[in-house]
Amino acid sequence: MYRMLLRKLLEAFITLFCATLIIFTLIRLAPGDPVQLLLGHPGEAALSDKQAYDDRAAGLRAKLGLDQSMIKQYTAWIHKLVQLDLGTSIHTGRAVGAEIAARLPATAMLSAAALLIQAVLGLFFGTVSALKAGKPGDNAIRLVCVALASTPAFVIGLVLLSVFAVTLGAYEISSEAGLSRLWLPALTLGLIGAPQLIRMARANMLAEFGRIYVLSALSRGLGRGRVVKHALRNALLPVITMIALSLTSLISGAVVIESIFSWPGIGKYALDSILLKDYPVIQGYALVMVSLVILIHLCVDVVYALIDPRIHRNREAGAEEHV
Amino acid sequence: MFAARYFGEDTFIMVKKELETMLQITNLQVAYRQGRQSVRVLDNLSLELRQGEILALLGESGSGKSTIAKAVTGLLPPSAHIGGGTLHIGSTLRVDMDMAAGKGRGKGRGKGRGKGKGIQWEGIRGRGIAMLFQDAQQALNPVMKIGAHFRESLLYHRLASPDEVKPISIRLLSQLGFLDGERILECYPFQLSGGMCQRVCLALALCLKPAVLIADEPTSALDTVSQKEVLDLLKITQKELGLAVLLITHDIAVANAVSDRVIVLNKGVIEEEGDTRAVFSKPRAAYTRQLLSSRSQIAKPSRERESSHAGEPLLEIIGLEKTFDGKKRVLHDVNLALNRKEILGILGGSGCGKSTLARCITGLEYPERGHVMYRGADISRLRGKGKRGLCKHIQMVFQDARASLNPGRTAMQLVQEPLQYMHIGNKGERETLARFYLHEVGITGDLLSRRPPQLSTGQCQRIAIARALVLRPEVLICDEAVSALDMSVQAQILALLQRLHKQFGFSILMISHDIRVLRSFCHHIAVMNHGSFSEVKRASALLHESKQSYTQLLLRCAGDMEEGLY
Repeated sequence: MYRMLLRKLLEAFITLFCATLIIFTLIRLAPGDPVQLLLGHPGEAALSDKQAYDDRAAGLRAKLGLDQSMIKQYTAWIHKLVQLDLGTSIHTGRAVGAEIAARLPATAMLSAAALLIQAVLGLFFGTVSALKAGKPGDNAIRLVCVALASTPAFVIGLVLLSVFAVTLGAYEISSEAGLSRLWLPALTLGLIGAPQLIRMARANMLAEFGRIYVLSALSRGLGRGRVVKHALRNALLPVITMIALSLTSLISGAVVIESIFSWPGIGKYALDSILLKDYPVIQGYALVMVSLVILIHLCVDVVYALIDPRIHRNREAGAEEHV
Repeated sequence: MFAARYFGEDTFIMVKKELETMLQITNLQVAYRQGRQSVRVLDNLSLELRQGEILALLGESGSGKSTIAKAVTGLLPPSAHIGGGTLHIGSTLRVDMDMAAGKGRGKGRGKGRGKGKGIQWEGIRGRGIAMLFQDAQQALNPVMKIGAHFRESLLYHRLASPDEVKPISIRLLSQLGFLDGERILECYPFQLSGGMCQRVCLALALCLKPAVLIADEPTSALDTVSQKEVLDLLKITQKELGLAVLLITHDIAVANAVSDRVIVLNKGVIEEEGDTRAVFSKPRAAYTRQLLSSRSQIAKPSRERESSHAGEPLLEIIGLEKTFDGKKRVLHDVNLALNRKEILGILGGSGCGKSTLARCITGLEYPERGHVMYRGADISRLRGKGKRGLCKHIQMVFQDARASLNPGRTAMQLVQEPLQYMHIGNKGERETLARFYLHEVGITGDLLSRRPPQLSTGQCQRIAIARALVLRPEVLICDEAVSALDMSVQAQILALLQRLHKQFGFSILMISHDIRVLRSFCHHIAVMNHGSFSEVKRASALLHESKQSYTQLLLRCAGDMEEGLY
């Protein structure tokens, strides 16, 4: 178990290193020049100011280190990273690390809440759907799932917002960003992600119900609740992968919902930086996201091993015959 | 307290009333819905199981024997319909089966079975009727320790306090031949062999002190040695506890070895019923005679079959070694030679490495050391094109015929596929070839356009054989090719293979755990144990000449079970 964890950690570092390379290169390959965006387009300046503009641009480039070769820039970035410094924003001059740290908790809180709602909805309705397979209850759940899955996220967000904030007045959008404002965006994200989890849980539960150990548990006279528990633990593994994948997409992709509910998350910050070609911010943001994804998957591997004994025990342990 | 009463060695007292009926089934009718049709599986079936006896329910697949087991425990799938019947369990409990056909019948999958206004199955299952399943490893929850299974059963039925669970489980396990019960309780099902799992399942069934035990093909998935072991234990514990056992099997030898009475079932109708010895020595029904003769046909020792030993061997295995996960040694210094037109049998229990050997020969696995020489060239490490070319020369037939065929293709498509893959002939020629080989294996007429789900297992195996032969291979490897088949179908497939062998002259490597099959079919038999061959003998001589203790053990197990059969 610990050996597995150690190996996974090593793999994680290698992945992280590859990610820095890819992030760094991709950002620089994309069209657009941050200095130009910062100073305004040179065509707008009068011809006499051209020289001054070029001087200012060159000075800024030198100051930001953008005039150096790609390799030097990369090593400089890595050098800073090792000291846990994500650099400073070209645009605002503030430390990227601090900016991300200020925004990440809001996004993390939203994602966690949304994930909880997704998981509860997914497992509960998935199991119910499997138990009622082919009956009206199952059909109703599946219908709602299809409807939810095929509605764009912003529509769901806007509808919920208009129902709860405008019609019912149960939600105050302009209040302080806290727990009282969290539930509606979390519910929205939860509803968006739930259908795929429900479908997956249902399919897995149905497959497990067909297994012999379920028949065997029934034949030992165990009640239905018990037997469902037997099946659930086995059906859980693929569902957990799905939940983890959904968490990564939640953290990195909640931009739309964050802006609808004006939630002070990291999504908007990242989007603005991308438009401004703010290299250090984009790099920092991407790297933090990659680390989070790696971390989540590491957790999934550990949970897997905890749930399924076959993963970290080998066969030989008790395989010798004892006649 | 419970423990002392039921599981104490000396305090165990059971009043033996020899003739008390423990399970009585009267006029049971079950039908399955298939599309719009309804296929009747059991027609007014009645049987009686008495205390302290083992009643064998003998029948081939499709006879409805498993349906009986599922019907009396309320585990029938939703497509089943119970037309009527009555069930008496012990002397007190009476169940009207058509009540189950009403509201409670087959609700949903898994959960609803037995709920509703119908029968309270939860009260019957486990304590009234316990069950053993064919694949014991699958019958235990893969993510739960063995100990957790015992704990759950005992506590759920309030048969023990939490402190008593462990001693009770260990004592039961020791009754079933586990000397280290404590360790077993800490194991997961996948860490135990099939035979061990079946013994655990038996202990798990017995811990609830059931009135009746239904064992549905409990040893069919096991090799000869563990089969004997499990059956012996079943018999011993049954006699000790005075348990009533309904043993469902397709294997005459199993019924013969342990049962007191036997019921021969054919297409949902009882053909013959009576004392086991009497039924097998003087069968009255024609169907029973047919079953017995197909068995003796298989078991008949081979005569006048000698292979030519001229020239160098067609296939030669030299010093083959294979390990899994870097530590588990599966094959260890395996040496073997297969001559042209020879039929060579490989005999061994499960886990001895015989399937891995087959996979090494066909290039599905790569050995660490050693060579597989085919016509003087090493084929064990071929990759890419060379490996694909090998398919023309060496073909394999697998145990699970149905699973080895793509369920979406028709028989004709399945047999043509290897030809397409190898770019042999044009469309018309391929069709002619496929039709020819399918005709040779007895698949004709409208069977040609059917898909595996619409065919019987025997027919599927015929198609698999045709698919293997259509490339005209020189070596055919049959990996337990008849083990999953009914006795009469087994005899047919073996006869078919023999005829094809004579006609086309290929060599056969026949892998099996069943000494009967090999003795009748092969020229030579190589006995495999723990990853290497302990001896190679002429098939007819194996019985008398072998001095190897392992071979003797295999022979003894098979012999014990058949005693008095012929």
